[in-house]
Amino acid sequence: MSDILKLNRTVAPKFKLPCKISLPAVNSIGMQNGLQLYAINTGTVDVLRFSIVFDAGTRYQRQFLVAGTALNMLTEGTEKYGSEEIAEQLDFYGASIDVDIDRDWSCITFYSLARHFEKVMEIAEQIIKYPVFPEKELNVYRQNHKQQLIIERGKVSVIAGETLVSALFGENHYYGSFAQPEDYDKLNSHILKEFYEQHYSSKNAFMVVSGKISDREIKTVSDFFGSAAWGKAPKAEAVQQKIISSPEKTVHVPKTDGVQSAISIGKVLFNKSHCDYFGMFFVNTVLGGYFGSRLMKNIREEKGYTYGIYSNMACMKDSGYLVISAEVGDKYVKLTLEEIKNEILRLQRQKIAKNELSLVKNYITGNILRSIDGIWKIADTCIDLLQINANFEYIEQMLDEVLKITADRVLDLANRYLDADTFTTVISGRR
Amino acid sequence: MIEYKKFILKNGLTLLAHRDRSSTLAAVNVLYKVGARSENPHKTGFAHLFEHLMFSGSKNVKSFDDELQVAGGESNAFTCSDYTNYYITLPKENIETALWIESDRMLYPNITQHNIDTQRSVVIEEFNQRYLNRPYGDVWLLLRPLAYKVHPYRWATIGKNIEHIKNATLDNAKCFFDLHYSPCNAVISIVSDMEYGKIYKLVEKWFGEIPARPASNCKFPQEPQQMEPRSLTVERKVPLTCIYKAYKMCRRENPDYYVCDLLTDIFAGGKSSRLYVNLVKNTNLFARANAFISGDIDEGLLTVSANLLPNVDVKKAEAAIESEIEKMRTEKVSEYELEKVKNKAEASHVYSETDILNKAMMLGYYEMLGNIDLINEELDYYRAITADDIMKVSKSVFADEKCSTLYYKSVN
Repeated sequence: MSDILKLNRTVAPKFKLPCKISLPAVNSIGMQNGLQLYAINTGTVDVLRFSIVFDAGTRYQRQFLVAGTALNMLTEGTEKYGSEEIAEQLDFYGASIDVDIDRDWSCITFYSLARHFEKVMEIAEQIIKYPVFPEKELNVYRQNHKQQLIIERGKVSVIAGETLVSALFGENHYYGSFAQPEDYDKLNSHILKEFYEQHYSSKNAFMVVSGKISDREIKTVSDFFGSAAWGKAPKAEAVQQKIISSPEKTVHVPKTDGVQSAISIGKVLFNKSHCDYFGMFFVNTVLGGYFGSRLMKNIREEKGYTYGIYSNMACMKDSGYLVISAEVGDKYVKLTLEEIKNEILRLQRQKIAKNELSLVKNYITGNILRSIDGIWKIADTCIDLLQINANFEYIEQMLDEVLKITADRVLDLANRYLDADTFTTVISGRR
Repeated sequence: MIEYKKFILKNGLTLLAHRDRSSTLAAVNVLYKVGARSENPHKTGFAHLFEHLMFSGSKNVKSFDDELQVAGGESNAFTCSDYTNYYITLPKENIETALWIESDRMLYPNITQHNIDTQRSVVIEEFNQRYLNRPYGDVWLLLRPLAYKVHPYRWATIGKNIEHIKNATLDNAKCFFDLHYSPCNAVISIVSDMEYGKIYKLVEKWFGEIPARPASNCKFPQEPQQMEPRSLTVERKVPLTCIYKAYKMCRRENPDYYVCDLLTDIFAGGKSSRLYVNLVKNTNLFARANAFISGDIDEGLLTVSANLLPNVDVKKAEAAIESEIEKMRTEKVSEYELEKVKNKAEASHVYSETDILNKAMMLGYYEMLGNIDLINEELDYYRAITADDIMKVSKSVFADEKCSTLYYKSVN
């Protein structure tokens, strides 16, 4: 077959990657009440996305599940509209809502066709400013989400992940504690309302709007959220709690009814404000941060022990951790642990080859471009940045740092931060 | 509205190009018109296993992923019953890298014993992770063979069982490639900020010299009409009992397909939907309820499913579901409710046009269906649906003798 082909396929086509990227323009607009709106005009399709982010994550709750339930219950009834009316109206306008909560932040997002934006924002205002947390809807929520949590906790990956994070931060720490299904029974409307009043207000939030934006849409947001101050909550004060890691370095959580075990290996590291963050982000990518990573190549593509293995750097407001996770056949647990160890040792002992170094640099560059492409992703990235008090220039800085990194620095960082005996290992499954 | 231009190369490869001026990336999608329905009933799971093998490099591309990643790209793929879909995004300047590696694996993929051994093992772990080691993971492994007795939809894309994957050989893989991975059995779709003529030239450069091969002419049996209600009860260690009622529905090309889609939105599209309000919220029987269509090319399934709260009587729960179905058969939906689900269909269509990769996938998908114009005309079909259509289709779909029911019971 090859004799008839004229094209020389043995040589890869030329490619190039930008050293500078054109950053999306963000229009930062101060509202009359002090609330900040960040508007990103991505303009081609007639849709809009509006997010409002509150400094109201689970770290601020004094009882399990309160922060998440308060957020989810915002749409379940307001002074003006009952929950069914809210659902009817949003569905009728083809709008949809996403809520998202993590340890530090809560966020509610509305997706709308441009022509219905004003109507959707009117409902959004009711939801965000005047929720009433009705008992009837709370009962339904509590019952269903309790069952959902029971199902989640039947997954070995969830068990291993939670056990690890508890071991790293301490099971009473706001970053290391996890709710039990029974905690749903302890919720009531009063507790939710109290949490809402203490954490939801124009003083404790910021807003991001993306899509086809003109002055009209800015005015709409401003009319509904930006005029008078609303809500009683002061700006959050994040009080730091001391991390108390478990001295146990290996934990086994037995679960005998499955065919696979989940492995979670990790250590407390740092967040995005640390001077070595970009460097370690790079090291983590090499190790297990993308499909072509060393862990993936070795443990999946060479040995076939797992469907997927990843390492990830989780970053929170006042800490962070690195975690390697995989679900593997029970018979591969030991072999996988050995190979993870080998890959970490290889990073510490051998300088990364030139090819791999530039491959990972290029891959990360491409990923940065992906992270700001399209109306949804651009807003997500913008929110991530605002949460660390940064703007899109941070991405530029990240790209600069990534492109500058050397093999020596990778070696140095791996030795400084990845010593095997600093990791905690959790296995959920058969022994 | 997605504007596009269609080209057909001499070797039969179809190209669809769409220009998106707003993105710095290019999306390259390659769809092969082969899926689990083309498999030998004794070698199921093969289309999906083969998808894994396609990432093992090719004659001139030692590592598919390395060559792509070094050009800033990322890729993945999925297999379904009707087709297999490979996709890439990368900086638009580097589009030729995507064309190089995709064309090279259409020419000579690196199918070796070592690769097949490893990917067999990876797929077995995938089978375990996604189907056996997850609560409710095996639902479709049970429901498909209940609903289909003859058609290949009776097995899931992962395969009937692990043994089939274990037995896959190198020869099987080579035959599968020769039979199904020819240019005329593929559609490449590209979304990028580039003139159509230029895209065509580049695709012609990399794919044009791939020799034409005969199209696969895979015949598989069509499912005879189901004439009796079917049911299966299983017990599993899961927290909640679930009921799945899967009804036979029309083929993808039948206009009733859109009616079925709207039907499921009336049932379960959002928090104002009937199943959520009437079953989850206003009875104490269910934790969740859902309705969805399978979206298959041949006769598909319209499934209504529900998770029962603990200690709820299965018969009582099923009666509640059936009363909602009965209402759909006997009472006309209001103009308001119809308008609502149409608006929702329109909105999700518009939302799907905001992402370059999604647009590339849609172009490939509609071309595979055999009518690319549907990509922009489909909304008109939804808009034209009347309350009478909904009732008529409900009456024909929701018949006991077309239903397969799975009782997935929780035991401790």
